[in-house]
Amino acid sequence: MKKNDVLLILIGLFIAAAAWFWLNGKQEPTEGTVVIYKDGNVHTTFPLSSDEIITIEDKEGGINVVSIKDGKAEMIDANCPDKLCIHTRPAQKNGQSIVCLPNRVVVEVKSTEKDVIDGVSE
Amino acid sequence: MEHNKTKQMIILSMLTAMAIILHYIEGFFPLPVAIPGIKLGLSNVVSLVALYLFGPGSAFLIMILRVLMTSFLYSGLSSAIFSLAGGLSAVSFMIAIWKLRDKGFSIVGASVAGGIFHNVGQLLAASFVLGTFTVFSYLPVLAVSGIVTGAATGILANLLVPRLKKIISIYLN
Repeated sequence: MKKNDVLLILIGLFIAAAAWFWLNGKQEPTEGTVVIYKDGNVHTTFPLSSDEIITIEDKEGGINVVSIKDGKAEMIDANCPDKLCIHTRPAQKNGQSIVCLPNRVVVEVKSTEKDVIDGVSE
Repeated sequence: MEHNKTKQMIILSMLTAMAIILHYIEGFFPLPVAIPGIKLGLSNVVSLVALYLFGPGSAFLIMILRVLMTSFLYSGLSSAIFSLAGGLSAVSFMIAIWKLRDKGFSIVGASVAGGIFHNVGQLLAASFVLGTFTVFSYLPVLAVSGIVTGAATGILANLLVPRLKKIISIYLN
């Protein structure tokens, strides 16, 4: 291991830490919106304060069920093979998301007020 | 000369086989990321070793063959895009650091760069599939995991390469 290797590792760790604080820093539970994407397009949008069960289906037979309750959005059911989306922690803060890659579904919480993270996650 | 080319091909084939097995093994270590198909990048260590033994061409060749073979054998074409994006970006940045090997970078640095950019490449592929850059919120976790695996495999490769060089030079002559 040489000097520049150590430098590279330190810069990498620094950027990771900075990104982490930037993403998690100002995430007070917000007057948020839950945006559900399907195939990269906005499928539906609900306020985080609503009480809803949303089913997202597609022609290929992909089914995802999202529940919005008590200020949290959660994937409660899906027919994807790995079920990783169901095991993802509920999204309740600005910028948090649940991803179901096999069915190409993304559930994202966005702050209703415009802020920095909105600009990035667009 | 022809004889040596055959021998070199045999070595590259063995390395490719190792990369395929490592790719299979890393499937047993799921990352704390809700994106299936995203992997540690252990198999990149083989491309790294090939890079320092035979140069960039061999590193790329092994990576491409590994992606093709693993997607045909078990992971399927849908996660081939992650393998390919991760592999391409990892090997490219390894080569960049390899070129700077006289300027204070060792094989460990190349491995760390490969580890980080393996994951950046996979996230780019995921955002392409999903049509949103939301997945980049996993970047901090994946960058740190890339640095840790990169450093570990780099230290291993650092021990391995001089020994392999000796063995291969005996074998080739």
